[in-house]
This record gives sequence, structure tokens and C-alpha cells, in this order.
Amino acid sequence: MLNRLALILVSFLSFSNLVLAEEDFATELDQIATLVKPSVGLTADFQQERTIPVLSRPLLSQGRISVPRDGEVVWAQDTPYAVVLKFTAQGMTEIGPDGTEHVADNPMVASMGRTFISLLSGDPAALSAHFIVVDAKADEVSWSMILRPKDDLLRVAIQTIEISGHENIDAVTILDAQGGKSSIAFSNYERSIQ
Amino acid sequence: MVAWRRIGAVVAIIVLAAVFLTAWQRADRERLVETNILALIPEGERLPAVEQAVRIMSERIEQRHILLVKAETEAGAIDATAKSATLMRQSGLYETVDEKADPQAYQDIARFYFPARYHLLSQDIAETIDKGQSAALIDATIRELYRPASAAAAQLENDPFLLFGTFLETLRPNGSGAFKLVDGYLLLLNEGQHYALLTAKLAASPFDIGTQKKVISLKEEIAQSDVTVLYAGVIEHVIAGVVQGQKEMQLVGGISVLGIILLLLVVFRSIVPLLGSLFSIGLGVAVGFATCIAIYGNIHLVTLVAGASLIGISVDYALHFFADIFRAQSSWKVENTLTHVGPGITLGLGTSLIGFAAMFFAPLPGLIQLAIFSASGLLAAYLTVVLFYPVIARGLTVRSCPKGLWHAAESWLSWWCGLNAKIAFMVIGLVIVIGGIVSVQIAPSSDVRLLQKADPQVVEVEHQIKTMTGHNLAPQFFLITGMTAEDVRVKEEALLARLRALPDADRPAGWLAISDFLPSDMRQNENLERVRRLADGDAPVIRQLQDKIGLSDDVVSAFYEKLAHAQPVAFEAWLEADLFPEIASLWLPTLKLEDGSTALGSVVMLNTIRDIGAMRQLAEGSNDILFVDNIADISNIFQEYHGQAQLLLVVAYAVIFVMLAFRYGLMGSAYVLAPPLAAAAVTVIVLYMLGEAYNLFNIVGLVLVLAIGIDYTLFTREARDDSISTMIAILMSAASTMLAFGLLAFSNMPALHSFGLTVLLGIIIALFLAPLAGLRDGEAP
Repeated sequence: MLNRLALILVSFLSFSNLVLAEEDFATELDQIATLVKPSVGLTADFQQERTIPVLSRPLLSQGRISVPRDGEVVWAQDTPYAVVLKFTAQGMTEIGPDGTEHVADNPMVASMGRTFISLLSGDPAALSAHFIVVDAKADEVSWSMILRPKDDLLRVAIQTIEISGHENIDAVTILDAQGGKSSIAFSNYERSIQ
Repeated sequence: MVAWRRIGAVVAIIVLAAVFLTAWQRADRERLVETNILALIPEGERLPAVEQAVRIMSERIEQRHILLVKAETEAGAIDATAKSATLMRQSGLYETVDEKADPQAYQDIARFYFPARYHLLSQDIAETIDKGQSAALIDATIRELYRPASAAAAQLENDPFLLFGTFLETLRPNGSGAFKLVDGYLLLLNEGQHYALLTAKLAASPFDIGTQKKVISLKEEIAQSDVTVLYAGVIEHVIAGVVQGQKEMQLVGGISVLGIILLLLVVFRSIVPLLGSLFSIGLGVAVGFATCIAIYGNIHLVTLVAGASLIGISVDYALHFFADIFRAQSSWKVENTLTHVGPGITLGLGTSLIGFAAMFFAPLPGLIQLAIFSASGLLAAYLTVVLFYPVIARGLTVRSCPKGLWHAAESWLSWWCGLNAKIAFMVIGLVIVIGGIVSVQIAPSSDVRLLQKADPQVVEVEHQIKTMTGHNLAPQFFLITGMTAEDVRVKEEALLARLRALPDADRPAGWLAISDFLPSDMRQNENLERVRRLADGDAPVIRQLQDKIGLSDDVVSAFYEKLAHAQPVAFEAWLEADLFPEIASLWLPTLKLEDGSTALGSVVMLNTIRDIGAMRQLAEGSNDILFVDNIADISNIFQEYHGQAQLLLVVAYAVIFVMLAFRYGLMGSAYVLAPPLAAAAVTVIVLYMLGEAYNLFNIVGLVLVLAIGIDYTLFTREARDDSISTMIAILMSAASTMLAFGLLAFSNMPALHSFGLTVLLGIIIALFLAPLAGLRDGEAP
């Protein structure tokens, strides 16, 4: 179907065909599941650092992230400019400072949005629906995972995702296929009254 | 007499053999029975280019099969879709089955367009540059880069303004944004249910009987694996039509055959009249069928059903032949029968043939085919009576008429004898005048959609799919013609710009157009100029972007380099690459024009048209842009012929009137014609009062009523000393006609319903009025 073309990722230039063996990390994943608390109702500060090879300096941004309900993530950026992005399974809505809403409902953004939502849930069951677990480590208090997207298309763009945390997620690092890297660190978790 | 009959029989058998042989040779075995109502309309009513485009587009639409697989969860929908697709592939029924995005195809597409990225801009970007909003452009780029989970970073090196990504995003049918992509599947959330879209193209025409059967069993197979699927496509209508048609034929056919058999057995208490009648009708239908096949190669379903009904008149001939027994009782001799009933049935055949001849002059292929079928079949049935009945009936046991029937016929006749013929005639005349006025006043409904109203369930599901997916299965489109490919594409772009500019309420829900997938050369060059503007001036926009985000010098110089050597995408190369077969099929490279020359053309397919007037307006005043609404066009053509058919009918009966006047005198002819005309008139009035649709099929029904009605009055008129046996024959004839065709009034197919109801009403009235013809200016019959 033609609609699917909207999902074209242009990173075909260095398409990596690496196939990673899927191992069974059942023990680790079980442990992670017991450690991670549900993300719904959480709010945290975020700090994103994105390095892109052709840019002389990294792109830094800060703000608050929240999970008001299941399947929805609100990314409220304060610097370098203010913007609120609301991610749902259907797509992304950009809410400007003046309250105007701009909906980006194209499948590409929606697909990325779903990935993002499942990442931030930290729930291994939700994650394994979208990702292949390449590596997983867990001890009494902390854990980390390395993931690869199951979706063929996303795999063209994203090489690996590293995610680590305690009872909440501390950091997500996305390595893209072009050598770019996005690191998002979370801090100051608060749980709103549910 | 016997020798004459023998020669006649030999000639008839030879002609018959020739007809069947020709039919055998010419038969279109793939599509013996045509079910598409559009085949009934004449060709050449519109511009040849339009006909050609309609044909190509119809074929394209015909073979599509659209499935929406429904499930409670996304995963369930994906799983069920994969299962269905596997079954569909295994069936070998489909040329393509498309359920999952192929990442390789995306890469092929991106790879194809990428070198020409600065010639290809999305509408939004082009507008932003045109308005000189360089700040907005820089801002959009930066926002894209900062957005979490964005794939933009990878593009920056070769496309610093991230233009190509926004162009690729537009490469989808206009108005198809409702779907989201999950693991390559297209999913849609509607009222809490998850749907996955699966589109397929049949390998053969949906009218192919083998394909129909296989699709039916495939659907059963898919249903077995516990999958809920909504289907749409022409094939669904055809299957529903076939299934419904078969069911109805079985039911109606079953009841009427059973009823007629019982009738004949009870009245004649002998098997010979039954076998004789079945032989007449069977041979009549077979000859009608074979004649049509011999001439056309196939036969239309409507012809088959309506034509078989018309041939049913022939049962009258058989009934009159055998009812003659009751006239003579024990002194009956088979040799004398034709002397008594021969003139009546010959006149009956003559008037029927004149009626059919009238249809023959209608410039409507459907009516002509019907006339050929009926005339040839009726002639064959008549010949069986004249040539073979005297042989068949030779050893027939003579039995007396059932008493009840005899008394009924007798009292019915004597009731008429008590009437004043002149007053009765005048009353009937008045009825005819009123009927005539009503039939002129009555608004004919010639909307072809009403005539071929499909199974409501199919329509309902199709509507659901249309609402959810925006797929349009009706051939409604713009046709753009021009002398060169570039010419056509520039005109198409101008049209699309006007479409986009329409207010929401008037704009179609979406469309498919080539220039959305590849701009014209002119537009591509304009795009390049736009991008060049980003590199020009004292403070080029590209430098501003560089300062803002720290873009490397290499990227900027590569940008300048690329702009200097950018090449557009050639249309021929695009066609050659065949990246979007569905879109490429909108291109019509050899359109025939009125003057015989050829032109190039493209089609813009429209989804869910909201305001058809606005579409017509867009095409107004242009020779190169046409709005084609096939269904509306055909409805108009039907309407035109409706009036013609009515007129021809009047002419036919004027001819019959003059012909009969030679035998019965002017008044006698009027007495014979008045009852059937009055029957037709009352039928029209009743149909009007019932609020029934009045269409071409009612007219066909009226032809039958007139033909049969005249038979009744002719026999009444011809019967002298045997009026009661004639009445019995007429009663039986009416009973069998009502059993055979009146039952069609209960059909779900509008065309057959209209036809059946007309016949049912008309025959009852014609039967009631028939004895009038026997009253001679006040004399008792």
C-alpha cells in the first residue's frame, strides 16, 4: 500500500543488515519486571543530548516528561525553546506556547511515538512486543537492556537502544544507523496522586 | 397438409442445428452470462476517449478485492491478516496480495527519487519558500532535529533542510491519513475495533464463473480459521448477485414449474399436454439462448430472465391446442385442432413479433438482445405447436373438462354478456386515456443504481470500508487529455490545485493522481529554483542554518555542489521504474480522439465525492479536462431510451391495429385491442398509485402484458362455437403466466421486481377484460 511509503526512512544509505541472535533473557527480564514501577502517573526532568556527525556541537534540550495515562507521553521542553509534544499510539500533537495544536498523524511519527511510549513504560512485556532483547542485565536494584527494533523499517534507522534504570528509567541511549547518538537522562521523578 | 408439415419440420430442424452450431462456435466460454448492467447500454454515446478511459478504469476497479480484517487487538488483526493473506496466495486467485509493507520497496522508492530531491518539494515547503519564510524553514528543521525519537538526524548530511523526508511523506494517496503502520501492516482503530487493510488484485475478471466459485470457497476457508473480514469489490457484488439470482431462480422457478405441472395435470388428466408444453417452452428458451449466443457470443442475465418470461407466452399456444379437446369432447380429432386454433395462435404470434420488432428499433443493445431472444424463442415454440403437436397428440386420451372450471368459465362469460358492450367499451376507453396521461406524466426513474441495487449487506459493508478507507469503487474521475506527456501533467497539476482550493465541504475525501507522485517537468524546475533561492543572496538561508546549528562546511558545500548539477526525474524513467503500479495505471498513453488521432491522457480518481456539482464545475469550459461519472451518464442514457421505448410501443400497436382491422374491421380491431390496452393503462395507474418505480423494466413488462392480452382477445374473437373451451384455455394461460412471471414481483432484484409486478397486475386485468373482444357491438358472443 502506498500509505506505507510515508514510513520510508531515508537512512538507506548505510543500511545495516546485521542480524542479532535473539537470546533468552527470561531471568533478567523477570527481575527487571519486579524492579520497575508502573510509569503511569510519573513525572520527571529530562535532559536530551543529541550528537550528529555533521554538526559541530551537540543539540541539548531540557524539560519535564510525564506519563499522564497509559499509552500517552507528554514531552514538555523548556530549552532551547518551549514546546509541548504529546505522543499517543495515533501520532504526535505539537502544542505551541500559545496553545495552538499541530497534529502530525503520519504513520512514521506514530510508529516512532509508539516505540517511544513502550520504551518509557520500562515494562519488559511491552518492550518485547516491539523489540528484540539483545542483552539484559539485572541485579538487586538496577538493570540495563540493549534492544533492537522488531519493525523492519525502524531497524533501518535505529541500530540499538540502550536503556537502564532502577525502579524508574534513568537513561535511554539511541544509536542511529548513521553514527548519531541520542542520550536522554531522567531525574527528579515524582508521582502525581492517582 | 401432412407433407407440408413434414417439409416444415425438416427445414426447422436444419435451421435449428445451424443456430446451435454457430452458438457453440461463437460462445464466449469465459463469460457466457453477462451480469454487468452497464453492458446493456449503447456504445458510442460518449466521446471515444471517455469510453476508452471508462473501460480501462472499470477493468482496473473490477479486479480489486479489498479486505478489512477485524480483531479485538492490534496483534490479533495482524495475525489474522497474515493468515488470510497466506490463504489468498495459496488459492492462486490473485495476481497480487498486498498486506504488509515491504521495506525493500521503500528503499527502492527512496533510492529512485533521492538524486532528484531538490526537484521534488512537498506542497507546504514550496509555499513556505514562495512566501520567503526562511525563518520558518530553519525553525522547522531545528524542531525536527530536537524532537525525541526523530529519524531526521540521518538525513542532514545530504539534505540540510530535511526537504526529502517531507516529500516522501506526501507519496501516498491524498486523504489516506487514517491508517497507522504497525510492523508493516496498515492498521485502523474504529469504534474500539482494530482493522488491518489487505488489498488484492484478482488474476481474472470477477465475472469469470470459475473465479466466482473459487472466491466463495476461499471466503469460507478464511471464515473457518476464525477470522472476521469485511470484503469490498466488484467481485462481492457479482457473488451476491449470482447467489441471490440462483436462489431466486430456484425458488421462483421451482414454485412456478410445480404450479404449472399441477395445473396441466389436474385439468387435462394426461401427461401429453404437460410434456408438450414443457417441450415448447424448453425449446423456445434454448433457441432464444442459442440465437443470442450465436449473435453476441454471450447473453445478459436480464435478457435471460426477462426473455425466458416472454417466451413463456408460448405456453398459451400449447394450452389452446389442448383445450380444443374440451370443445369437441368425444368427437375430438387431432387433425381438426389446428383448423380451429391455428388462426388464433398465428395471429397471436404475429402481434407478439410486431411488439418485439418495436423493441428492435430501440437503440439500446439490451432491448435489442431481448427482442432477438424473445422473437426467436417464441417462433421456435410456435413451430413446435404447429409442426409437432399434431404428431405428439395423436394418441391423446380425450377426457371431459373438470366441472368446476367449466362452470367458472361459463359464468364469467355470461356475466360479460349481461353488459352493454358499448358502455363497457367506452368505460375502458376512458381508462386507457387516463392511463395514457399518467404514463406521460409519471416521472420515470432511470437511475441505474436503482436498477442494479445489489445485496444490501454487500452495500453496507462496502459503505463501511469506503468510510474507513476512502476507497472508491465507482468509476468517477477526471480525464485529462493532451498532446504531450508534459502537457497532460501540467494540466493535471492545475486541476489538482483547484481541487485543493475547494472548501472542505466540496472537496472529495481524497484522490489518486500521477502528478502527486511525480510533478511535471515544469513544476520540478520551479522547485529547483525555490531551493536555489535558499542558497542565493548576501545572507543565504543555508548559511543562517549553518550558524544556528553548527552544520559542517562540507555539508554546505555539498549542498551548493548538488544544486549546480541537480537533474530532474524524467517521466519516462518514472514509468519505467514502475514503483507505483497502481498510480502508473492512471496513465493512458494511447487515447483515441474523435477525429481518429491519438492523444495522451491521465485519470484523477476521486474518493467519496461530496459535491458532484463542484466536480462538474471544475471541468466546465475545458476541452482537455472532463469529469466522468459513468453511473450518472448511464442513468441519463437510460432515461433517454425510456421515452423512446414508450413511443415505439405506441407505434407497434398502431401497426397491430391496422393489421387487425383488415380481418375484423375498424371497430372489431378496436374491441380486440381495447382490453389489453386498458390492462396496460390500469397497470400504469396502479403502479403510480403504489408509488412504484417506473422504469424500462416496467415497459418490458407492459410489452408482455400487451402481447399476452392480445392473445386473450384474439382467441376470444376467433372462438365462435367454442367460446367456453377458449375461456378455459385463457384462464389456464393466465394462471400459468402469473405463476411463471408474476412471482418475479417478489424478487429482490429491482429490475425483476418491476417487471414481475407489472406482469402480475396486467395479466389479472387483461384476463378480466378479455371477453369484451367477444362482444360484437352489443351482440352476445
